[in-house]
Amino acid sequence: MNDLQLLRDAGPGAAPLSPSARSAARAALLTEIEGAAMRAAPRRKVRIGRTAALRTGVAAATAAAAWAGAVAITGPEAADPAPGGMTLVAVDEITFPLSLDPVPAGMTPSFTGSTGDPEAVAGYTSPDGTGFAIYLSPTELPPADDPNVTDRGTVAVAGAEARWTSGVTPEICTVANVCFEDLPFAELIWERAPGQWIRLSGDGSHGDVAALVAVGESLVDRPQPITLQVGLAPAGWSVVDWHESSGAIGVASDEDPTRAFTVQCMPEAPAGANEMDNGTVEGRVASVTALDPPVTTTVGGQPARMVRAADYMDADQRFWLVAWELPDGTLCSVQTPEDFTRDDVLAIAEGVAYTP
Amino acid sequence: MTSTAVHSSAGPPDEPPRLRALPDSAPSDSELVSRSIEDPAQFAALFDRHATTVHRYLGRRVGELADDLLSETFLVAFRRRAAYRPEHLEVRPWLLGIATNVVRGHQRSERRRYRALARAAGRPEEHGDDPADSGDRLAAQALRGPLAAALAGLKPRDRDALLLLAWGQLGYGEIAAVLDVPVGTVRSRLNRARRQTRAALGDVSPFDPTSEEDDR
Repeated sequence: MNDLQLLRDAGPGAAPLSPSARSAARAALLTEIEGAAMRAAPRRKVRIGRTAALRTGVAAATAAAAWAGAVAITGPEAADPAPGGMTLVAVDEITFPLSLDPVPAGMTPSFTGSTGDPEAVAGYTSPDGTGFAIYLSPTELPPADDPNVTDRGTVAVAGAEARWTSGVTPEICTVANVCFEDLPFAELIWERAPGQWIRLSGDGSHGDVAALVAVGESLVDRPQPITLQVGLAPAGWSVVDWHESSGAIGVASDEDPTRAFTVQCMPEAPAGANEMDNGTVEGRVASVTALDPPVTTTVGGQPARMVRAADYMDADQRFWLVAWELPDGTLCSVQTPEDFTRDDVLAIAEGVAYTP
Repeated sequence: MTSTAVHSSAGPPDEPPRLRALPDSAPSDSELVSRSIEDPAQFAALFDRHATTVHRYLGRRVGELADDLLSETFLVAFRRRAAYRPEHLEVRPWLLGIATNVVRGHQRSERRRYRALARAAGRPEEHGDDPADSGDRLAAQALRGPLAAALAGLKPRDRDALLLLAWGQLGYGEIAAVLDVPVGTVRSRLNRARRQTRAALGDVSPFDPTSEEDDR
């Protein structure tokens, strides 16, 4: 036996790919395919149509700590449904419960969370992919178990004692595909308030305990809205989760969670960045299997294309897709089940707000 | 590594991949990538063909994290499909190269896993009653810990080359292409990695001295 055969026979093994993991990975790929690509990117303030919300006579979203509880669909002010349509109501704003004051300059925020889950993450990323992440948990977090940790201790953060660790990661590449030979990292863990544990992890210029302490002390109890918001949804439907790294928010029926719609807004990629492109409206529509010829419409005053389509793997899965481009090149889309009316789909699209 | 690096260097494989499938046969991997530029949905078939292979490679390197990294690998591959060059590399090694880069962002987890496996291998293992394979099992168990510890001790770039060879079953040229280094560098890294692995196994090594040339 040689060493290669030994590695194959006695090296670390792998659990088989489970059907659920396979399905989840495939679904993520299909979402990406349907979105015709993605990119994190240029951040100019853009807010699009609230006309639908105004039409229904609903005030814009309420400030709600979405991370800790349901992102409820508010019902009492709902408008009458269009003939054959459903009642659309306003969706509470999705927020992360804390803000940074001052806001870190030159960093792009992104948020991940799901309704009813007390854990949530806010990331702030520099153009080179380094930055820091704020991870919230209702329970005490374990200390870092990282072989690259070289130092540890305690430090005060706004009067609370925090445990810190620091070290250097050799040869690591960031999400921006920038690679470093030695990248400093640091982490703070403390209970900021009763039942509110924070793990603050940083690297690069934030891979330093003092830099993280400064970030930790800039945290304030002020919910901040995430950059993508769903303004309208059918009564009895709720936001399920949000993943800003993929620019998507999922909304599902409370009665039948398998019925869901997705809102996605993908910023345009900077030139040359990973040779990616967030695609075009035509490309987005062309990426699905159309059942009828696509039609031209508008969303937020912008040209849009809408099509009724079927899943290319399962022709029984039929849906509506509407895609439009914001003035800054961000490509947005809404995909709903087929039984939504065309007007419902357009009203939901009009309610989408993207504020990078 | 840049997004084009996975296929931008080193010599092409001995036999360039077939670009055109027969009219009534399934499209080749390269054709699917090519078609997916205009018709992104074509890319999903590559997942169906290669997900198990990529997951197995990832699973051996990062354990449970493989479920997440499988998704990440295919997302990255889809986004970079326009940069794929079939004349340089076939799709399977291209995907394994992307998976290797994805793992690179999780080196801490990978090393943690190897070290945990090394510690766990030092503990007694429960055995069944069948004595038939007990000899092989005991031999494998004796090697498992030192082998995991050896992997944890390798430099990440050397480990990448070794595991692409051993688990990915890539040739030297393919490894060079996916790591974006000359073939000579691959040889150097493999020599170093294999020498260190053998040394780390010490007395428990069952090696027959074997030329690396035999393993290409």
